[in-house]
Amino acid sequence: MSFWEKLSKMDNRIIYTALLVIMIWALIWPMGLPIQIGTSAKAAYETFDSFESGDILYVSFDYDSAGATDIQSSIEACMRLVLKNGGRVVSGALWPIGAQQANYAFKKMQEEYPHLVEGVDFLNLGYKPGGQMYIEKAMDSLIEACANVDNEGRNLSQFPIMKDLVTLKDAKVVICGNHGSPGASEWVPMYATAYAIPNNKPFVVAASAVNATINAPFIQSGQITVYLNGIRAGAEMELLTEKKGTAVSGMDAQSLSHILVFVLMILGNVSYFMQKRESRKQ
Amino acid sequence: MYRRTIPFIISIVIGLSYILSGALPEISAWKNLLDKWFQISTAFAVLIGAISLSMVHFRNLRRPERLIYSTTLIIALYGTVVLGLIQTSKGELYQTWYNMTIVPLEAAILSQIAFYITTAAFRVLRMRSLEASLMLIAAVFVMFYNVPVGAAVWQGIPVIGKWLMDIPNTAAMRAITMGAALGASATAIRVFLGLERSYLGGGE
Amino acid sequence: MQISTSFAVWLTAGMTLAIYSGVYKENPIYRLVEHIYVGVSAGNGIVSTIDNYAKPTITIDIFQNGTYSYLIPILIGLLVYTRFSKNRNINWLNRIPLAFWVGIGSAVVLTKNFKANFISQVTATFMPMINNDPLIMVNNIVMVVGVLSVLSYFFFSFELPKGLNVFPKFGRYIMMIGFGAAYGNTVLSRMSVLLGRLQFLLGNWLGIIETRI
Repeated sequence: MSFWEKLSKMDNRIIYTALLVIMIWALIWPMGLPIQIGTSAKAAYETFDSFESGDILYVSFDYDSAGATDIQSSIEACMRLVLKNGGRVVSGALWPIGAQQANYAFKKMQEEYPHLVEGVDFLNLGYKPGGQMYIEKAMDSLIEACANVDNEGRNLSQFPIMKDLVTLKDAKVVICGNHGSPGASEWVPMYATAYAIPNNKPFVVAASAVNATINAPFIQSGQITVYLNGIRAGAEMELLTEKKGTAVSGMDAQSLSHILVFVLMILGNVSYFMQKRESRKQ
Repeated sequence: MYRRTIPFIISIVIGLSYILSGALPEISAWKNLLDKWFQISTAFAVLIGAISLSMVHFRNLRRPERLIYSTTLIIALYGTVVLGLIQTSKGELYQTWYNMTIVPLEAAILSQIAFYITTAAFRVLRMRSLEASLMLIAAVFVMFYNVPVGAAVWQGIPVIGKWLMDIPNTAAMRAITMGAALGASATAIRVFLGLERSYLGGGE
Repeated sequence: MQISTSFAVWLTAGMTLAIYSGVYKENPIYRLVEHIYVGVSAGNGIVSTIDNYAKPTITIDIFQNGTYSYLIPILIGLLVYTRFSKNRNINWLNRIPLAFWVGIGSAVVLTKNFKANFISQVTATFMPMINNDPLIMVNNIVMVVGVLSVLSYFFFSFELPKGLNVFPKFGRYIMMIGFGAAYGNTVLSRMSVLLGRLQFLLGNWLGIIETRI
């Protein structure tokens, strides 16, 4: 058996171990490679930095813990900017687990801005069923779309913030945290195309990177105004808001893991062509 | 006969009246009501998945090799539901249980793909043809466009990666999206014309 | 930072490691934890829906506000369970909720999705092919020709005459670039999920790294 043949039959577990080792290495001893700020992150910064006192941001947490590493940093950075400027944040979720992600985000915001009052400055509406029909109903009446209650089961009519957010149209900007369906594929037809874009309102999507390709047509067509792609956008937003977190600290591990994938691609191809040449010789 | 006709009439009347009331602001209240009805009806049908799942795993209890796994699943399912109904989903014990199970497991299960996708790079992505080579080259540029090391090695990588995402990728995905939209719309028209009745199931 | 003393963190770490043990080799612990996940996930979906929607619909909308018309969609939703009945005079009723959902779903496809996913896409595709900026001009040409070529690849499943078959071929190349881009993004996304777990294990559990700088 030649070297190349042996290499092609290498145990997968060697590759798994290599991946784990380099990622752990980069997390413990980060190299601090410079992160370039892209145009999307700058656009997001400008969008949310333009919030004035009282403006409302609606965040739809349409993802679970698996999508959180990719999306949560971006969303938290946007919320941070809005709250810093005196804006207010209301969240919903089209995924049952999304409501918990919203709780994590609000908990962090309360640590950073202790003066925030629930129901006045922010509110978590929680998970609501119906997917795109929830969005359609919320365009008519948010309270009805939520069956009158927030994530804790409290009547929505008691919260001052809901008096200024009768329908989704009252939100200055909507962000969709997108990890699959329901997500951007529902928000684009029901909210962005039907209402936001004709009324010159931005529609922002912070998505896990796996969704970047399928969302690309909607970015070019302007149906998605600002698109924050995965952990990379999260790291850029953390740098822009001067609050380094898990996204920035993970980018070196990302770089090394990508290098490993590239090296394996090269090795795989070299071994393939060398074996082909050897068999031709024989 | 009525077992297929009545549901068929319901779908046509509801669907067409929804379109009409969406177009005419004077009767938009009907559409808004149907939006709410849709939400309520799906909420009350939520048990359907759990019942089907339970039926499969209750059947598995008779198979010794599956007994332990199916018992675990049934306990986890009904334990969560009972705990949630007693405590509500905001109860302390429920929250602890939730944070210890769903949060790590969901991420851990999906993150296994990171290992598989790395081995795929070694075993599957081969430059066997022009098409495969194009795919591989695009993959490399987009990969390094996404991470800081790409720009650190050569400033051209992010530029090419962004161009590949913005132009050829958008063109490909747009054509696929348009094709899917045409297909979905054709199916919707077939529903209203009565040509598509597969959702009514087989038999009488 | 130091190693966690919280039982919950240890159990969470244990769950994560149990899943990763399956990557090394399929084993009973992995399968057991996998079944726990499916059960809890399905259970949580039910609890969330009942808690956040079904219960307040009954207690507030119907009992408190007296909106009795909501009993109709409740009945429609409940009819779906008739499919489990063996009585043929009853189980056909599960077609009623399906018909209701298909009716509204089809209407939404025609009134909302078609505009967003087809009309807006056509409008955005056909940009001026002549432009003073050569880069924009090339981009616009690639976009228009690319979209038409990929569409032609799907539409013309039969052999086209020589000269015309260049379109589906070009469409195939464009699609392969798209799939390559999809792979590139998937690598980032999946590595992120793994990264999140490693940050938990090394940070929250073992206390080796700071999870928050």
